[in-house]
Amino acid sequence: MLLSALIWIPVLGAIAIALLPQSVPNLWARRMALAIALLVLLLLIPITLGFNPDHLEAQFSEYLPWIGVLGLNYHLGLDGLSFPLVLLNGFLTLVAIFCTRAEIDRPRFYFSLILLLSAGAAGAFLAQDLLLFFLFYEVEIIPLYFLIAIWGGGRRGYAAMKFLIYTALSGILVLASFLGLVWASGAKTFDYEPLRHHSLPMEVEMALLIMLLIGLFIKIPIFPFHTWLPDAHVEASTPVSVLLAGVLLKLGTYGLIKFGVGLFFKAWIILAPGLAILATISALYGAFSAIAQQDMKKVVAYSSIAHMAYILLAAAACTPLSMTAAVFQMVSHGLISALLFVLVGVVYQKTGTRDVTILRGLLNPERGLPITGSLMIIGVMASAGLPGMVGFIAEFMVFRATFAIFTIPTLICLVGTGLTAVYFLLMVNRVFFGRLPDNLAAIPRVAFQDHLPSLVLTALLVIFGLQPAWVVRWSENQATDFVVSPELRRPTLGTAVRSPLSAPSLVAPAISPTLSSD
Amino acid sequence: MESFLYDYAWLIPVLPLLGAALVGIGLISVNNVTNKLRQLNAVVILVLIGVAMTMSFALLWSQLQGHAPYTQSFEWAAAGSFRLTMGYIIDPLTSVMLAIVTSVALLVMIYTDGYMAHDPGYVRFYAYLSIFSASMLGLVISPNLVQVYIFWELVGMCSYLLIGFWYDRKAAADACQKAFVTNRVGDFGLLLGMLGLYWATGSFEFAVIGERLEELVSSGALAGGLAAFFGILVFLGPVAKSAQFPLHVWLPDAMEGPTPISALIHAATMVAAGVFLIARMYPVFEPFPLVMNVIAWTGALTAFLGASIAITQNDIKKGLAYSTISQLGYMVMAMGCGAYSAGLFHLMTHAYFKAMLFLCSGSVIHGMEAVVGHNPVLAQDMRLMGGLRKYMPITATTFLIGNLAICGIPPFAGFWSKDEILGSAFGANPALWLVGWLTAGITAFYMFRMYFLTFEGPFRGTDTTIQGELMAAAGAIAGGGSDDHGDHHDAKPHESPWTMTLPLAILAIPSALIGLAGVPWHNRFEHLVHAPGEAIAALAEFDQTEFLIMAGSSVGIGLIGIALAGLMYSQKAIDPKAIAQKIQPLYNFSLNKWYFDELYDRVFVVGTRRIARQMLEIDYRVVDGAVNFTGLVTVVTGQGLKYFENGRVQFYALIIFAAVLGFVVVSSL
Repeated sequence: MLLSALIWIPVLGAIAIALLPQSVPNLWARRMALAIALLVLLLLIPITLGFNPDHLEAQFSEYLPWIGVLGLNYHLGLDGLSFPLVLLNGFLTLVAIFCTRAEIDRPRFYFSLILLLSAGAAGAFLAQDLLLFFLFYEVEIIPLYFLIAIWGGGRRGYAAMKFLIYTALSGILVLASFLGLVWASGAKTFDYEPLRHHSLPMEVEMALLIMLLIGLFIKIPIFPFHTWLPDAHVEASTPVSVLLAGVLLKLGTYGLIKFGVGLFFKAWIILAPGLAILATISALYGAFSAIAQQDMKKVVAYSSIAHMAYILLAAAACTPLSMTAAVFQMVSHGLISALLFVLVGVVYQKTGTRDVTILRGLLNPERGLPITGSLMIIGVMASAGLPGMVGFIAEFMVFRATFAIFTIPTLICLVGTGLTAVYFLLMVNRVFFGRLPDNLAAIPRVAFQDHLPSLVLTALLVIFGLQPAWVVRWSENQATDFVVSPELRRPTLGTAVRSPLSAPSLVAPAISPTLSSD
Repeated sequence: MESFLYDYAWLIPVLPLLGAALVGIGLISVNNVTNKLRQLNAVVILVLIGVAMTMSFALLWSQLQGHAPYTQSFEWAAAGSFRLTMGYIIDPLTSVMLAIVTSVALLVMIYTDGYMAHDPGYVRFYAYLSIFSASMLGLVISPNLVQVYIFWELVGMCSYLLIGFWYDRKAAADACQKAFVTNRVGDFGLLLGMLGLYWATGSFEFAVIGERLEELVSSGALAGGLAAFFGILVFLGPVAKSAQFPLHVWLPDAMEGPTPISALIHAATMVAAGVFLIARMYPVFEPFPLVMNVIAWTGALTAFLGASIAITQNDIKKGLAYSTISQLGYMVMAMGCGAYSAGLFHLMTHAYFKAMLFLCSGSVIHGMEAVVGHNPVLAQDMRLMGGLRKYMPITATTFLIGNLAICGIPPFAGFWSKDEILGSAFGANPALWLVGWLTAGITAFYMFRMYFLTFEGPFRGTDTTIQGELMAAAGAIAGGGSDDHGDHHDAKPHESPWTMTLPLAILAIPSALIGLAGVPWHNRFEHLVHAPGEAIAALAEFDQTEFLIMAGSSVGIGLIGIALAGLMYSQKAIDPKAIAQKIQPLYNFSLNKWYFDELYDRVFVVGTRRIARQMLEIDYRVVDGAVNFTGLVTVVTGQGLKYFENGRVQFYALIIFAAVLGFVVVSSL
C-alpha cells in the first residue's frame, strides 16, 4: 500500500485543494500542498528503511487486476533504478511548492496541478506494467501543459502547445512500441518482468526499439527533438522548471534503461555505437547553443540538454559501471538543474529580468544578491564537474566507464564539459561580476526562506559529492543487472543470482556488491 | 610521538579547511557580526595554519632523519569493480612541499592583514585564503592521480574566486574567467590522460601506473607511442597550471587579483603544482624519451618566452608574472632533462624568493596608492615610481635580496638551484643549456631594470604628465575600474606597516640562505628528495672543475645583464628608448606578448562564438522551422487557447485522457 500512497495521496490532496471552499483564504492552498508534499516525503522514510538494494526484483509490489481485456494490471513495484528517482521526485516536489509564492494567481488550481504532476511522475517510476507506465507517462503531460499555458510568460501559448504536441507524439511512439512488443511476443499481459524474456527476431526487436527510442529522445530531449524544451523552460515559472528539469526529463532516461536496455538488450547492443554518437552530438549542440544565449534560463535549459546526453552515452556503453553512472548522473543533474533554476528564479523575481546583457554586478554585498550569487557560482561549478560536488562523481564515472568503449565520443563529450565552464562562467561574469548599475539599484532583499531551497540543494550537492556511496548503493545492483545479458540471466525470476565471472566482453568481469552490504 | 604525528598528518589540510568553514558559515549566517569581528577571524585562521605549519616542519624533520614514507588510504567511492581511494602519503617530496606551502601561506596571511586592512572584503579574503591553503595541502599529500585531480580542480576554483576577488573590476572578472577556462583546457588533457592510463594499467597509483605501463610496453601489449601520448596528455595539466607555453596566457592577467594572492597562488604554490605533478608522475614519464623531450623543450621555450616579454613590461606585477612564467619554465625544463631534484630544489628556492618579490611589489603598490590613489593603472606602473628606496628601506632591501637570488648571484638561493638545472641541461642537450643560459642573462637584465626603475633615481609619482599619459593609454581599459576614495593623497610614499614588512624580512632569510641546503659538494636537498628508484650514491660525486665552469658562465651572464640594466636605467649611459626605436618590430613583439592574446582571441573566442551562433541559427531556422512550417502549432495553439479562454480546461483535459484511453483500447483489440 505504501507505493500506492505515494501516488494517490498527492492525487487526493490535489482534489481536496481544488475543492477548497472560496471562504478559505488562498494562503491555505499552499500550506496544504506543502503538508501533502511533506507527508509524501515522510512516507518515503519507511520505504527507504525497508528497501533492500540487494534484491533485484521489484519490492513493495502491489498487484491488482484492472482491465483484463487489455491485459492491463495495476502493478507497482520499487527497484533500484526507480528508488532514487522516486526520492528525487518527492524532494523536488517539496522544493517546487516551497518556491511558489502564496499570492500566485488561482492558487487552488495551481497547487492541484503541481501535486498531480508529481503523482504522475511517481506513478511512472513505480509502474511495473508497460501500459500502466504509459498511462502515467501520458497523464503527467496534462498538468504540465496547464502549468505552462496558464502561469507561463509571454509566449506561453506557443510553448505549451509545442510541448504538448512533442510529448504526445513521444507517448504515441512509446505506446506503439509497447503494443508491438506484446503483440509480437504473444504475451497475455503488459507485465514488465515476463516480457523481458521474449525471444523476438532481431528485425522486430530493432524496429520496436527504434520506435521506443525516438519516443524517449523527445522526452529527454536528444538532438534533434529538443526544441520544445528551451521554449517550455523560458515560459514556465520557476517551480515548474524545477520539476520539469529535475524530474520529468528523467522519465525519458529512466525509460531508456528500464525499457530500452531492459526489454531490447540485443538490439540495444547493436545500436549502441549510434546512440553514443547521437549523445555526443546532443552534448556538443547543447553546449554550443548555451554559449550564445542571452536569457539565463535558456543557458540552463541548453546545458540541461548537454548534461542529459551524458546519460544516453553512459547507457549506450552498457557496462555495470556505466549503468550505475547513468543513474548517478540522473540524480546529479536533477539536483544541479533544480538549484540553478531556483537561483535564476530568485534573480528574475528580484530584478524582473533574466537578460544577461542587462544584469550586472549582482554580487554587490550591499545592494545586490550576494548569497544568490555565491550559490550560483557553486551551482555552476558543480555543473562544470568540480570535485567535491556531485557533478564531478557523475561525470567522472560516466567518462571512466565509456572511455574504453567509445573513446572518441567520450573525448568529444569531455570537450562538452569544458564548454560547460565557458558558458556558465560567461553568464556569471556578466550577471554577477562587474559594477552594479544604478538602474538595478532597487533590488529588494532576499528573505531567508527564499534562500532555504537553494541552501538545502547546495548542501545535498556537496554531501553526495563527498559521499557518493549514499546514492550509488541503492541502484548499483539493479543497474548492473540490466547489462547482464539475458542468456546469463536466470530464466526464473526471484533470488538475485550473480552472473559467473566468464561473462562476455560487454559484461564486467567482476560484479561485487560490496558497497551495498555496509 | 612520531607515529602520532604521521597518523594525524591528515589534519594538515583539514585544519585550514575548518578555519575556512567556520568563517564561511559565519559569513553566510551572521554576515554583519562576522565582518565586524574582522581580525578575530584572521587570528583563528592564522592559528590553524600555524598548527598545520608546525606539524609540517615536524614531518620534514622526521623525514630528514630518514623516516620511511608513510601511506594511509581508505575507500571513498566504489561501483562494482571500480573503486576510488583517498588518503595521504608522507614522503620526502610531500614533506618538503608541505613545509613550503604552510610557511609561505602563513607569512602571506600575516601580510594580508596589513595589505587588505581597509578592504570591505577582508574577512571573505581570509576565508578564501584558508580554503585555498587546504586545497593546496590536500593536493601535495595525494597518494593517487584521482585525488590529485580533485584538489587540482579545487585549487583552480580557489584561484578563480581569488583572481575575481574584486569582482566589480571588469578586468578582474575577465581575468578569472580566462584563468579558469584556460586551466580547463589543461585539465581536459589531464583527465583524458588519466582515463587512458587507467584503461591501460587499471590503476591510479603513480608507482603502479609506471610499473605496469613499462611492462605493457616492453611486452608489446601496448604501443609505446600510445603510452607516450597518454603521458603527454597528462602533461597538459601542468602546462596549464604552471603557465607553460602555449597555455601561459592566463597568468599575467591573473595579476588582477590582490597582491597576496599573486604571491601565494600565482608565484609560490599553485603554479608550482604543475611541477609537483610532473615529479609525482616521474615513474610514468621517465621511461619515454619522447615525453621527457616534450617536457624539456616546453620548459625551455617557456623560460625564454617569459623572459623576453618581461623585458618590456611596465606594470610591476606583470613583469614579475612573466618572470614567474620564465622560472617555472626552468623547473619544467629540469624535470624534462631528468634533473628531478634540481627542478624541485628550484621550486623551493623560487617559492621563497618569488613570494617575497611579489609581497615587495604589494608593499610598493600600497605605498604608491597613498600618492596616486587606488587605481591599478597608476599604482602599479613603474614609470611613476623611482627613488622608493629612500621611503621604503625594508621593502627595497628585501627586493634587492630577492633580485640577487633570482639572478643567480652566489650565495643567494637562486644561484644554487639554477646552476644545478643548467648543469643537468648541459648534460642532456647543450641546446637546452644555451636557451637556459641566455635566459639567465635576460632575467638578470629585466629584474634589475625593475629594481632601478622602482627604487633608484628620482621619484616620479607626482608627475602629472606621466599620470595623464598612462590614464589616456589605459583609458579604454580603466573605464570604471578605478575607485578613488578621498583626495587625501600624500606627496610621498611611506613604508608599509609592520604586518607587511615582517613577512618580507622573514622571507629574506630563506631567499638568501636556503640555497645552501643544496650546495653541490654536500647536497642535503638531493639526499632527501630524489627521483624514485634512483640510487643516492650515484649522485653524490662532485666535479669541481665542471662546477666552476658552469657556475662561472652563468654568474658571468648574470653580471652582464645587471651591468646592462645599470647602464640603461641607473647611469642613463644608454637610452633604452633609442634601442627600442632601433628594433621596433622586436620591441613591439615583446611588448604585445608575442601577440598570443590576439591570436587566441581571433581563433578560439571568436571561433567559438561563431559556432555557437550558427548552432542557434540551426535551432531557430532548421529544427524549429520544420515544426512551425507545418502550421500545426499555430492552428492547434489557436484551438487550445479557445478552449482555455472559454474556461473549459477540465473538458479539454478529459478529451486528451479519453483519447489516450480510446487509443489503447482500439489498438489492443
